[in-house]
Amino acid sequence: MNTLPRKYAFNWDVIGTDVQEARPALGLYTSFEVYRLLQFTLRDVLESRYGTKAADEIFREAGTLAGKAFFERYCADATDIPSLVKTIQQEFRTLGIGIVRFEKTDTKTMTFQLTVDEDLDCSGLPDTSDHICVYDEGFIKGIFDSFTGKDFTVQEVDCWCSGARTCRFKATLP
Amino acid sequence: MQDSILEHIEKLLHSPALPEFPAEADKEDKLHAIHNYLVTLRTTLNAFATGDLQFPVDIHGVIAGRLKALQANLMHLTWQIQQVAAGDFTQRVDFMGEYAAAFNSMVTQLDNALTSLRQKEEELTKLTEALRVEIAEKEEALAVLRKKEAQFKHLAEHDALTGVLNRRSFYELACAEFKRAEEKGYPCSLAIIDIDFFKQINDTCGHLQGDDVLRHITKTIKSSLRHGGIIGRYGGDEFVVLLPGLDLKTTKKIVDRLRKQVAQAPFKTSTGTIHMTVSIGLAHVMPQQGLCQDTIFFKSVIKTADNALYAAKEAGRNCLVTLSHCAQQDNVTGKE
Ligand SMILES: [Zn+2]
Repeated sequence: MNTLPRKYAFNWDVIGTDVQEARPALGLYTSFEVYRLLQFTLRDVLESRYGTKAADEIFREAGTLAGKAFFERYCADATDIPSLVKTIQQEFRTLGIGIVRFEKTDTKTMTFQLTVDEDLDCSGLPDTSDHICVYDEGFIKGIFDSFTGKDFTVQEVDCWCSGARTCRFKATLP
Repeated sequence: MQDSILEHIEKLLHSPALPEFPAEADKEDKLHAIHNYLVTLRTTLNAFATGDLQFPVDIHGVIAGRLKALQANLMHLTWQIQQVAAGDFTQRVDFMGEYAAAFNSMVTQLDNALTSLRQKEEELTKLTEALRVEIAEKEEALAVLRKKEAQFKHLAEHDALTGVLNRRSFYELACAEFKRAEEKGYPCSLAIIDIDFFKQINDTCGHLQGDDVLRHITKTIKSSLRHGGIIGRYGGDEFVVLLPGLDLKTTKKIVDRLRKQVAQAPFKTSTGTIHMTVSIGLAHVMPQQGLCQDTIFFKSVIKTADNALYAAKEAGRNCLVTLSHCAQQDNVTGKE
């Protein structure tokens, strides 16, 4: 466990939320290229310094942190799985993260399968066998972990190119 | 060579049977790749066509992408239908064109139909409850009515002052009893009980006290006839008692005990004690003398008992005179 002094422990205040004051002319939104520019340059540096595996792990962990923050800010009112599903679908669309559709919500075995279309992280990327959405994996894990208090395993089981790239994720309990 | 390659590809696309890889092109790696791709595509499409939506799509490229999109759409739809089945009517499909429109319209209509059904059920429940309340009220009213009816019946059949049968009801019951006695062949006795000097009690103590005396006598008669018997009030201070099924000896014993009890049980008032006695005329009818239920017979038995009572008065009161209904012979008992 890291015991170094912290400067940037995440909370929403770090981001700065008063748009009126911060970006009176430009407002809330930016181009997805800028988002990816940040993500892929960061990935580049992390990979070259620590290797691909470590870079993936760092991204996954960051995604989990983001998923937990997302849950607290947007999903706190969800009372059951159907209302959680609805909230995820709505907020992902509103925030431009992606178009979420569910294929399975088995509350008995706690298994969930969903697809994300037009994914912010990977839509438009070349079609390869690699599952590259590790940040998304962490993000989805963060949401389900927060809602259930359990430790989910989320895996991108399929990723394909059909104009707008679609990714399929499976969330299970170990 | 080129022809056989093209022919092979054509067969892969069109032929129902899977064609053999052309031996002459065995070294063509690209053809191997296309062959494998098309074989996988055929297998995948076959799985989808026969309903296996979970079949993994292990190929890449634009066709595979479209196939995966179709597979995902069908799986999403399945999930959405499951949600609707679980009661979530907010589900809407925003992909798959015409199918989406049909699905959304179906869910909306289902929601409307169920809502209206639920409303109707609520209305029905309310109506049922209102009906239940109304029935309960009616039943309550009916119970009150029945109670009143029973009270009226009792009033119509009984003497208001003493509570014993009135003349008419006594007549009806006595006639029925005569009939039974005739059928079964047992004797019957009818006694008329008259309070001695009742007029004097009325005159000296007043009518209200006279009424109390009548009630007191009634109580005494009832308690001494604990074996049964029909009691009625016949006139002002006259009571009638019908004792069916007893022989003359037993009847006389019972009736005379009654006479004695009246004499021994004076009526205590706030101003003093009223002593009283009764004279009793008893008519005894044996079964072989012929019993019947008609009015003439009843009147004739009353007449016999009346004659006996007259004789009891003549004999000095506070005594019992018995007459056999047919023989009409005097038989004086008691007198203290
Ligand atoms: Zn992906």
